[in-house]
Amino acid sequence: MKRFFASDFFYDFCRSPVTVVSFMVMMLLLLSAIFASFIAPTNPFDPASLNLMNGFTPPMTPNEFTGNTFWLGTDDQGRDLFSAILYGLRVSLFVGFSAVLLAMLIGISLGLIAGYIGGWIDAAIMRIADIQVTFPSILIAMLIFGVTRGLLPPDQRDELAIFVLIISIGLSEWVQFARTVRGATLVEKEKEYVAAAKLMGLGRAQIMRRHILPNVLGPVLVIATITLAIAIIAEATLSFLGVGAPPTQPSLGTLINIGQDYLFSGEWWILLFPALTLLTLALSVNLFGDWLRDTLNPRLK
Amino acid sequence: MSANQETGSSSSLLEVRNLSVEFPMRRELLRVVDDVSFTVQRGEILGIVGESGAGKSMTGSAIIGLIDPPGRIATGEIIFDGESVGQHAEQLRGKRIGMVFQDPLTSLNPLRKVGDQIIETIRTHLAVSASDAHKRMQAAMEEVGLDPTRAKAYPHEFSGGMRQRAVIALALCAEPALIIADEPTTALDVSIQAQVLDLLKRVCKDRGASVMLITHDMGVISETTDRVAVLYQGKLVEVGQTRDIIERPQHPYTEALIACTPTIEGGSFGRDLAQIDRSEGHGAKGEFYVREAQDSQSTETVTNTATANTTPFLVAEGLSREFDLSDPWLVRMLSFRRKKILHAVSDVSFQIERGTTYALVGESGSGKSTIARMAVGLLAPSSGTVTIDGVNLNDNELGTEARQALRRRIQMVFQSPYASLNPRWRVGNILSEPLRAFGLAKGFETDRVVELLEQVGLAATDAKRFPHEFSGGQRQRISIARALASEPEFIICDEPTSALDVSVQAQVLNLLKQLQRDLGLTYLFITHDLAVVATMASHIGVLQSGNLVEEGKCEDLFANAKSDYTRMLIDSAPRL
Repeated sequence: MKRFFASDFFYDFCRSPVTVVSFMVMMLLLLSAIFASFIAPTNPFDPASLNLMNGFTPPMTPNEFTGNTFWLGTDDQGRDLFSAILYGLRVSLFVGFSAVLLAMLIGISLGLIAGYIGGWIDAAIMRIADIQVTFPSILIAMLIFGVTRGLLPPDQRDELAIFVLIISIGLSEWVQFARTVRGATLVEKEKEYVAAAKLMGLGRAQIMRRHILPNVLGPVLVIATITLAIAIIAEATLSFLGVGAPPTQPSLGTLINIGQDYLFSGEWWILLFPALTLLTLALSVNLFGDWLRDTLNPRLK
Repeated sequence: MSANQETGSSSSLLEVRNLSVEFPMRRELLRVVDDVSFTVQRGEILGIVGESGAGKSMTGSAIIGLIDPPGRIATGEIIFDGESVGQHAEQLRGKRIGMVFQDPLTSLNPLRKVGDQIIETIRTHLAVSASDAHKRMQAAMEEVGLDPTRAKAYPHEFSGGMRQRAVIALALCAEPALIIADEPTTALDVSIQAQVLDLLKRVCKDRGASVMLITHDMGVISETTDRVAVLYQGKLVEVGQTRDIIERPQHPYTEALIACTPTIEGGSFGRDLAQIDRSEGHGAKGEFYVREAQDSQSTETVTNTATANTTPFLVAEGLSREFDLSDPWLVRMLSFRRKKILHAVSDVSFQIERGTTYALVGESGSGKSTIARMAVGLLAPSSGTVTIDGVNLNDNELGTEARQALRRRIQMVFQSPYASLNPRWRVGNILSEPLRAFGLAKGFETDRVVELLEQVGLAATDAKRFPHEFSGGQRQRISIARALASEPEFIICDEPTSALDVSVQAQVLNLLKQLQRDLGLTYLFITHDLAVVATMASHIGVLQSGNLVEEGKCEDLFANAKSDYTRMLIDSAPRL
């Protein structure tokens, strides 16, 4: 730990105020999502705690019937928006992180195999990747989402919607990882430490996992951060379009979707606050990712 | 070092007075050039010699005002042709002071024709008409030994030596009074190095221009320069006539630097080279200890006891390797191109006796690394066989266990001290991996790792560190320790010292020799450097574009080489 604070990495971090702020905002949002159930004044998913009389309460003003005041107001069902945003943030981040993990898992494995083994296996994997990037990833996610939902029994659709969402976003974002890892693997496999490992009679799988994998992870970390922002936005987009997280378990996108119905009838807060949260989250993750890329990529220096 | 300070006379072209260059780093102020003073006379070649980190390139950059920020000239004055350079470096550079850098591939613009680049430089510096500039370009190309009809060629169509000639033509075309050549021949083969150095000498004489030749190679200094300045860790340790310094060095560092340079003559075979042991790590900066050259126990005695049977350890027979460089099948069919086959190695046969060192020598592209890879089994030969102690290395019938047993006996030490160790692994893991892979020293891995580290002169505590915490020479020791881990009988060394400084090279060569004596190892030594061969090997094979042109005992070969190519290689190797 002491070595971390003394490192050039940490020094560089402290010298970039934008990065420090974005990192702090990111951590704040992350922690409030994790501890949502302790921070949120109400549980928006508990129907017993909802009072329809509280519906459409503007922010920071007492409700005319019940006299209750809500920081960020309430939605049509009388749900406290602040609590809903915290829980929605949790769903968004969970989907985002899981989707990135899935994309990393697929992308790194395929990239390593393609790069190390080469030949027709490489050609096959990379052509599939090429074909996939010709479609917008949101379209692929919608396609996978639609097909998977169609295959599920109707009573499980809402329950499993989140996982279907993770799979669809994960499958639409693996290409970046595979390409980066393949490129790095092509460089690493020619290095002499790999030849030394071959001389010890290690198998392909061992060389890939033990020797090459740790050395190609640097750029992967950078892409992972930037993909996290993309995945969060993809999830919000899908939910906004009504094909993502169900209203019983709303994510930030679902909240924005609900809010847009009321924007022009004067209830602006239902749209604005979830949207601002999403913006802040995506921006802070992106800024941090940019800095990480610049710092970890010595070629840019 | 007041005895070595020179006072500038009116005839000196360049005078550097008390030059210091500093780099403010995060935690400390690095002083890379420390109070250096010297002069360059008109028409002379001054050599600046030193090992990596000596500040020799930085001195050159300071003169032409090309120090990258945050670096800065802290103190000192540079006087060129009677005037202080100060802020005028930009006006001098390229015009009065020409430059030749190490890598000719990056100092030429790859997108422009060589002739156009020369014309551009001429017209930038001299007020001449286009046709006049064209004539001058042709004259310049002829002067450096390039065919003027090739002015329309792009840099990538030139070989390394031709590119360096083109760079010299560029440096000359504004008729500079001084040429700063920073390691101009380090990337070139010896035969081409000799040509380029001759060219520099001739140009200097014909034009009366001065040359400041920066190099790490004492041999180059001795062959080329009139006077030499020796730098060590940013300080000037000695300056004087080249002959005087080489024959009667005054400073112990210079003496050690000369003593640890391997030479072709002088019968250094069977002797350990002198070495400079630096206090690495926390020792005071600049401290070093000199170990004199010493007679090592003759390898012959070990050989005699080790070889009960007289069959050679390694037999390579009719070894060939082709590489298919042709386009994919479909592209070839569509464009009516033929298959392109590179014959990297053709029909090479040699034998290595147990406990001896066999060296394969050749210039780049001679196929020596390909042979090394075939001899360890990393690459399968297209035809021919490698037999190790009676077992065919590429026998497909060989079972998994027999193959692993054979692998244990053959190990390799690689060229690059940076790429040969996995940067994410601790040294302890790097060294214990072969133990696990071959199932050796079960339960005693840590003890064995400590033993290996001590065997190559490192400390037991180094096992916990990562490769980047070590210097190039130390990393090469780790690489040797890894090769030793499986208790092999045969080690292939592929240019193990070509990336190292001479003093470190001496340490590594001495270590390899000592290990051979102690463990009765057999070496196949791959190198481009004849002087290294002369200190290491008992037998030599000379390779030229994939063919073994000559082989024989080391002394015989150096004394009377039969083939022209070998003789040319021996003649062009720079010597002290």
